Amino acid sequence: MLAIRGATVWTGTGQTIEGGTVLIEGGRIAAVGPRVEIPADATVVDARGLFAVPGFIDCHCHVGIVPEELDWEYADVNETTDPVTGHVRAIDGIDFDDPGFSDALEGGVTALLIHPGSSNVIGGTDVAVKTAGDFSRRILRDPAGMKMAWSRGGKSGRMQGKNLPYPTTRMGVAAIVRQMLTEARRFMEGGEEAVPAARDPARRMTLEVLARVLRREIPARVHSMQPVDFHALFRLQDEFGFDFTIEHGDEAHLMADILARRGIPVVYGPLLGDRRVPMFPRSDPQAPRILAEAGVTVALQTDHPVVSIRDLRLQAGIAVRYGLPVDEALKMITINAARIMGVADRLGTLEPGKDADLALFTGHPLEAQSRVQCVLIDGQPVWGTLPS
Amino acid sequence: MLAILAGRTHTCGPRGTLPQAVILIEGGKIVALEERLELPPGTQVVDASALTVMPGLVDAHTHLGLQREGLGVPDANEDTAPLNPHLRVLDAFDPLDEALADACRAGVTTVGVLPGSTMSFGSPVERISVIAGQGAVVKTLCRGEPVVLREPAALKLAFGDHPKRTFAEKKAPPATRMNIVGMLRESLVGARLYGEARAAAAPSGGSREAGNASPGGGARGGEQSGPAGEPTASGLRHRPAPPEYDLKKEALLSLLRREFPARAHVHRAQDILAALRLAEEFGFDLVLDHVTEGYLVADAIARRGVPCVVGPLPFARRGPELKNISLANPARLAAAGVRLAITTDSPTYPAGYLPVHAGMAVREGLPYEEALRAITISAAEILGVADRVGSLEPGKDADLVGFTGDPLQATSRVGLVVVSGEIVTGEARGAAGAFAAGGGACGTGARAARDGREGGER
Repeated sequence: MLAIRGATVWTGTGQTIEGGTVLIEGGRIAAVGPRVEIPADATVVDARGLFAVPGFIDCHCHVGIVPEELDWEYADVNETTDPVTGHVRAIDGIDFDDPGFSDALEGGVTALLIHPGSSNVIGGTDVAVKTAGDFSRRILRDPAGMKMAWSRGGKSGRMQGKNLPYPTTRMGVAAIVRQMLTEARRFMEGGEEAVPAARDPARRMTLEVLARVLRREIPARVHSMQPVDFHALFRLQDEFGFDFTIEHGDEAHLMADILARRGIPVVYGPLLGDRRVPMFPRSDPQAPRILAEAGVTVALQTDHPVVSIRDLRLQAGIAVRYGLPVDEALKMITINAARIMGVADRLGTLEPGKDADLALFTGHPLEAQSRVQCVLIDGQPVWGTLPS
Repeated sequence: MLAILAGRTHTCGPRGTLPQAVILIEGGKIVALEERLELPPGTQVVDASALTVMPGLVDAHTHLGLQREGLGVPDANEDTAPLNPHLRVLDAFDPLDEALADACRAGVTTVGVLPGSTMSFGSPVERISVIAGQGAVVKTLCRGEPVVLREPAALKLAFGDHPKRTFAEKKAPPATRMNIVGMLRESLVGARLYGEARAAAAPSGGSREAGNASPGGGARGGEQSGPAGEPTASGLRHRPAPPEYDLKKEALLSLLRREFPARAHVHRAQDILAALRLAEEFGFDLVLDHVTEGYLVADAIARRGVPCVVGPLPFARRGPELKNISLANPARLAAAGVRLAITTDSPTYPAGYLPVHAGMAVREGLPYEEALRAITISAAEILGVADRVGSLEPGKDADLVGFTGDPLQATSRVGLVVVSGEIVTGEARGAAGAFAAGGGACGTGARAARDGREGGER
């Protein structure tokens, strides 16, 4: 049993406790509060002067699937052989020894949603993992969603794949998704009889994942940028009935009310990011605030390696710079991200019963000059050292 | 006349940091900066007493104005050829690039604009020529025409993987680091010989050093001397014909004459050392840019007094060339005695977050004052415009920025931006009467300003 005592504790449940205690037992949080009774056999850590937060969560990154130190040839992020590769799984391309995972820990990030790339219209399944720790507990959710790509993303496979049958317009992208969802619906109703193409194993695997999307077991996670993309997705949603998240969503704030009404979450960013690549042409640092004010569930992302995952917390700091309240900003890299990832029952806040995944900072975690003192996953230190 | 009643003020100049300051501005320049100051009647007042004020920020390495963010085909690198010393970035500079206005609103008021480093969607290769062309220094506030502080300001060179890959794609040289330096050496020797030939053809004879030849001197010499090999008027000696005017060689000659420095795109230590060797061999001024592995050869850089423009710091490793990227790089270079600027490489990272990048360097040990200088006066010195910008001093351009908190923290907001005396963000609150501003706590100054203004209006 471990008691972390004296820190400023941001619980993620609306409380910031000065001089609070976090009690950990069996890899889970046993108690959090200003006055927690500490059992006699507990190891007590004096965390006065430190700032404790739930481990941060990056809902959109490519850690381990785009290699950090190796050349681009080693990248396993885009299977650009066909615009529809719903049968491939991010989990099969992840190098768990990639230094991106330690970068994440250096930034207090304890859970990640790792996506295939956005070169394909239907690109494969996402996986939610913990950054470190025991492998048996490390895979949080697989599949956690089906990656899709609108905008320039869905069309770009053509550039990489030369003469492959990629769409060249948004019309073509939407038509491919409509065709696949139609097939998936018929496959759900009549199996291979109804969809002879499903005799092909790859196609069948794709349809099985899309069937889970249509049963609303997992969402589609859609690289999409502008109102024109969102409107196409709304139409498909109304036609087929499925959940989706907007990934990046440069101009999502222009449609904040509609997104709130439809309950569509946005994984915004990266804010600190690379605007040289014509992928995030209209990103606006005020967008997270505008979306949050409208009632949209927002998480922030690094899109690592576009921005180092180490700096996820600075995305939130920059949103504060543009008017977002600090509490909301922290939620966007903790509980909101956990909800969007589908793991809010285990992660995202410091509450009894949840996994003991937390980070201790030397100062406010949204400030550039603060450092990570220690990161715990399942109650075990995995980065830095606990104060004595 | 305009007076800024500033709270805590980092002058980044000889005055250091002041608990408060009154900054008096006239004709776009700072005319006085004191903790307390008698204001002339009718002075417009900006109450920035709640803000931390510092000089307008300077980002020494950007590609602003060369690629409307995310739109169109970038103009940053002419990768049809590896050697383009004659290209001038100003010829492609678009003063309406929204990224410039964004940078200005965030307090980045002066930027170095360099050619090179184009990235296009779907390609993992950053494209850059071995000699990418000549850079410029501009202000980010453009009212129609660009405000150019210095042009040409530098010659951009590139070492390492990026130029290799750029031309490997085209199956053209250079294919190796040997040939990157080989092509540079060949160009520089060619320029030196050209300079010597031109000096030999000049009327004062061949004794002048190539480095002293004046621009256009070759052409003038040509008019005065007869055809090649013919006796001159005195009939005593022959003067060779001047070489044909060559724009590329002229640009390199300017580098050899130290009219501007070379700015070398380098990441790996071996490329840093190659650039240092070349600069020594030909005696040109050098600035190292990016300098990812600089901390591994910090002493070699410091010994030669070569300044570094480091960044962008938030990069992930992005492949083998950036394998050793470290946030501690600025701290370790500074500790070795290297003069240092920090850059966003905008639009790689938005220029407006420059102070956040500096804050990240502070986290890993860069002294706070050093970090402030790295985004102001040191950057201005490296760009050769420190006489105009980079610190709050009388005589300099009235470029300043005010933050709601510590400028280097991510969450601080910009509450005031002034460029050449023009208020870009924030507002002046009418004319002040005669009163003494400043004194006591920051808030007292603000009250004095308000009282004074009311008095003036009555």
